[in-house]
Amino acid sequence: MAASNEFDPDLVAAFIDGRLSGAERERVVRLLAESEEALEIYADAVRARDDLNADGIIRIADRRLVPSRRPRWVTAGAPLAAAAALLIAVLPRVVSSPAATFAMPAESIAQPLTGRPQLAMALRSALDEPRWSATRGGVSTFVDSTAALRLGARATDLQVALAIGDRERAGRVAAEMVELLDSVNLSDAARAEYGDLRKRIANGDSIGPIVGAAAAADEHLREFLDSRWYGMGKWLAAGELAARAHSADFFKSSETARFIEVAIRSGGFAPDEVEALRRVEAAAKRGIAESEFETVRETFAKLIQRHAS
Amino acid sequence: MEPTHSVLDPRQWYVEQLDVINRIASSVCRRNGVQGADAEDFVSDVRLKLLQDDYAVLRKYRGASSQTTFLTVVISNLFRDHRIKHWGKWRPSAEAKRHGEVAVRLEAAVYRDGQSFEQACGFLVQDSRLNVDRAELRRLLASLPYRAPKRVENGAAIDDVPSPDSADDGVLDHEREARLQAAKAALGRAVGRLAPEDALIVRLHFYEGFSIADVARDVGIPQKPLYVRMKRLLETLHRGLRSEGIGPDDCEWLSVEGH
Repeated sequence: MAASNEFDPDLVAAFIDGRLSGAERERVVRLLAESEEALEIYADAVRARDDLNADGIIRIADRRLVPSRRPRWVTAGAPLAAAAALLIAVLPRVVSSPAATFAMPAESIAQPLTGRPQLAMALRSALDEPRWSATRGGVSTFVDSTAALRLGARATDLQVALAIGDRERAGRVAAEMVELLDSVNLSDAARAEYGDLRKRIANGDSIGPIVGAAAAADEHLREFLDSRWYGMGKWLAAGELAARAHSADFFKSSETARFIEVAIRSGGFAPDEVEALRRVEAAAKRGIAESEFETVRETFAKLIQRHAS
Repeated sequence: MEPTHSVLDPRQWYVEQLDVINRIASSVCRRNGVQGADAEDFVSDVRLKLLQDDYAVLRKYRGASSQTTFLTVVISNLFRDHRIKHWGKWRPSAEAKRHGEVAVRLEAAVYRDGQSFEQACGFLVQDSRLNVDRAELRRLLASLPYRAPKRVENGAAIDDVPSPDSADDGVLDHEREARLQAAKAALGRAVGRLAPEDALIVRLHFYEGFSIADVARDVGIPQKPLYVRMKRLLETLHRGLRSEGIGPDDCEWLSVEGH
């Protein structure tokens, strides 16, 4: 490696242990930044150390043991594949991948609604309505599609509630998310984050920072869950709310069109559901008529009901 | 850094840490899809290398790190040599590593060894320790990054590897490859212009598949500001690529299916 004369395993190991500072840390950071080979060794060593930690041989700072929480299209390993993944990330507006659609923040998905407060106000009563048949006391799980979809739907509801300053509903939605996370293993960090959000809402903290914290929590939760169903839930909830509010802007946006296309191709829906989505897609392309919004709303509501119950 | 101190007798250290050494070597193998006799060979090879020249490798330990972490780095380094010797440049994708042993073995069978999906299924399904079925393997393969399959001599081409598009057209393949290489080179230059810590963050996240939380923990920086920092870095890289004329037309070739 370029680093063959410089690669000092003890120093790299000390960096992994978090024991370096100053010039020594800079030296290792530079080595890892510049040498593909050194980075490979470092990454394998970190993973091996995690395995040892999981085996209980050594105790190191907590590191989540669930499968990683990354967008599926973010690949690495083969340098070419890694470069492709990074290029897609760097040019998000010109390259849309299905996973990128599902990875969109709730804040962005709901923007056509939250960007028009009067529209969002009309949705107020819908924000903490039951969207699915409630089941409680289920078995604990790492995460399944149902839990992920429910959390996604509520993430959108939370953003809309915050956008219109409805603290009461935002607090209830945040509380429900904490409750939903109770059934997800190793979700302590996410649960704590939404719990903190609920407290800040209840304490009367200013809305601006809370909106920012909610967006960060959404991003952390997406990364933790690593499930397209989380993104699906966000989009379906936004679609249902947009149809309820007769928001032509939402259905005109290229992101929404892309979502519907991706959802149809995802393989996650039954034939009749795909057919219903195709009808929404066709209507959105020509412009949804006033008389059609209720049908569109029912389509999204049914999809949520079926997949979150 | 802690004050340097001499290691105890390396022979004693080796004996005391033998179980850890075996576990680290096995972990590295498992993470890279090496199993069975090949894994046993590597574990033996590691032990031999550590013994060689009167424990020369262990004698390099100065006490800057914990002994266990030192061993993980040393053994990962040995594995890299082993990988290059046996596989050349091929290595498992970070995506497969994240999914675990089954995914790494499936990816290696299909993309490295040129087996068909059916062939790969044959031995993976029969391995009772893995407890997977064909449908799960099919989903797993579809979720892994597409990589140009290695051509096999007997013409048993990979007929059922999911491909992102109709890349069987030779001319298109060639053009796609050329554009991808140009974009990759421009990207490499853009990443190279970043400050070392920024470049490391980008490479760990995108090239090695570490989550933002793991990058923060491993690099020793706060997690929350890292999201904003990453966004800014991507914007910087975006500008760098655009300045070299890399834009939508080049990157539409890269779109891949998500799960």
